[in-house]
Amino acid sequence: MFRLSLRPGDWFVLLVSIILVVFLTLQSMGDRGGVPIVRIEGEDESWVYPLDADIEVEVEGPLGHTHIHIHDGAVWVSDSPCTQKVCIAAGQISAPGTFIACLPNMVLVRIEGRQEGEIDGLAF
Amino acid sequence: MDLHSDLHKRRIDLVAFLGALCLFLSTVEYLFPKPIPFMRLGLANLPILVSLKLLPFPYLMLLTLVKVAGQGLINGTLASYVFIFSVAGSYSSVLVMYAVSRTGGRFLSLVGVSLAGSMTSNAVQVLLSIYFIFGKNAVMIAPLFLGIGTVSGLLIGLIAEGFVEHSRWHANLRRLYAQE
Repeated sequence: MFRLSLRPGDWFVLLVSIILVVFLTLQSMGDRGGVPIVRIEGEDESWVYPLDADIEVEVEGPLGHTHIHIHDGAVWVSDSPCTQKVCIAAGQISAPGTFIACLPNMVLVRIEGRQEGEIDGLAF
Repeated sequence: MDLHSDLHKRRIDLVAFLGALCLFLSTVEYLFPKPIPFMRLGLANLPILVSLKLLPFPYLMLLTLVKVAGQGLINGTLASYVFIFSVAGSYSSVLVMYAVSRTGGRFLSLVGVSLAGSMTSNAVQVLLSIYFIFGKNAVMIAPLFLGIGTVSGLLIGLIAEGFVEHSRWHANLRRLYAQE
């Protein structure tokens, strides 16, 4: 093989590149803190709880009270005055971005926060 | 530029030849396995690197257009959004490589030029994917993307520099296409 002599500028560019990569790596690893929050929206009010709370919330809607539980990092609707009970059937949610809605009683429960860097699908 | 001059015709010929070489190298790149979907060696950048000091700016832009369009055809991405990424990445990297090689002068070989171009191309594509497709979570892939860019840019730069230093064909071209 032949010899190649790297020049000072080459080392400089290489150094900048490596620093950039290391910096970005540290940033993307260190920035995972923060507990997701549970946002509960009623007819014209809204509440925010941390997902790691342990609490039962009653939200008043046009039909009556919707009971929402937050326990062990999961949220579910335990009782609702609506007829279809879709919100109860929705079960427990725990991932940011997911939600439970009770349309008849106008209640929306949503988990907000940083997604854990999960990508559903990639196509190239 | 004088469109009827002999030099112009020779330059266009060179663009056509190097453009064809870009397409050929894009195809050759299929030889290498891709452990990660978006990992690319960037062999098709070799002709561009090699011609940075041979061709004036407009011809480089033309060569880049040939490269991007050809790659789009070969990879089948010409009609998809990936093509926009490809255009943005290629042109930003050519602009940076041109600027860097002109300002760096003797302090910089094609290794540094290639590395700068590769980083630019990958950074631009990460930024585009953050703003237009995947949202903020795409930051997660930035280190991987730029890490790959560092390695492939370095590798391609070493090949290009080795070629330019030792090729008699290239030495001949440098004489023929001497600027100013």
